[in-house]
Amino acid sequence: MNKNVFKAMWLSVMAVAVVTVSSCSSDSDFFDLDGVDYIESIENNQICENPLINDGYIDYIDNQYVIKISKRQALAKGISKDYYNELEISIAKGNEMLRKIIDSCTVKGNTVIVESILYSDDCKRTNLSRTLSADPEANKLPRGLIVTTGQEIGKASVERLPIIMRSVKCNCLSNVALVPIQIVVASSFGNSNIKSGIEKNLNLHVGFPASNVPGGIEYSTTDSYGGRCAWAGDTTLVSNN
Amino acid sequence: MNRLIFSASLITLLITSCKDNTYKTLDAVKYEKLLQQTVLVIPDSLLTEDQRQFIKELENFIYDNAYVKDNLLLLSVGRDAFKSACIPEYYYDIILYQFNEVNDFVNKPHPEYPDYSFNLDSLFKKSKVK
Repeated sequence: MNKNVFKAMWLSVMAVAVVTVSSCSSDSDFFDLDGVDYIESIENNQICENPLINDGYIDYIDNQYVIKISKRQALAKGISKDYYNELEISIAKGNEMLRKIIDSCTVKGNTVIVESILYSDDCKRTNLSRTLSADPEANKLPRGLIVTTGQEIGKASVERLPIIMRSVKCNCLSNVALVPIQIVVASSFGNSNIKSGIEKNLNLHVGFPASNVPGGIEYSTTDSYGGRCAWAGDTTLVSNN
Repeated sequence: MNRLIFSASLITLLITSCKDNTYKTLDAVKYEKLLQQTVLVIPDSLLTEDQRQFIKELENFIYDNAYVKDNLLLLSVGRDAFKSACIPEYYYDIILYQFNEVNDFVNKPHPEYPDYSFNLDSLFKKSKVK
């Protein structure tokens, strides 16, 4: 009996010791001066580096990112040498990835179709085709994704349609139905243009009634499981018949 | 006597209305249950090459055997045709349910699209050409 009491006491003392040691070690990690320095260095870098991106020194030409400022000019602007080198490496990596995507996709007319882009935000259906325009101006136009979970109308809006955005290219994909009706409405200036089709994976090109005004895009499908519409602004004029 | 007839008709009406509602819910539930057995609910990125091929064949089979009459999408073949085309029989029920979804949508008023009429015939011909 006495042995058991001694055993219990010994165990409790050991437990208290372990808890004390572990809590002490976490405190010292938290107040680690190196960590504080690291955070400060990141903040300082961000203050210096933001102007390079914000002032438009990085452009997107022919599906590739380009730095429009030389290292010497960047250094003169107060940007660190390390940051410039890191940026060069990351842009080269990004461009390589873009080249691989574009090489592996199919070209239909004026559009490059990139298949099998993986989205992990939805458990129902994660695969979606997306269209990129071969026109570099069009790639800068607004784009987005409308997701519906049933037969409701999904909506997206653009605060002001850029003056060159005359139409919207949509890739609509129903979640389950093999022959669903899919509808896209492009509206602006109090008017709307509607296009529809009866296909599981459907491409629709709908013109806006006017640009340089607020605009809206609506998508719906007859599939009771809903669908997805990847839309991208386009510069071409489209007849709405 | 009149009271008896009135109460009997009321009960009949109640039973039939309940039956109708139950049938409708069951149908949607049945559709959902059937879907879970199929490859249609599998994300495209997870489909095997065989499953991909099967969906393509199923789509072709539907486009070959569907037609539009009086703005209704209909299937020209029965359950047996699915069997003989080596397509599991339950796909017949699934396709019919999906056709009903399309027909219900087309033949109801759409105040949200006031100047647009859904001509199923021309829509179906366009997709069939592809």
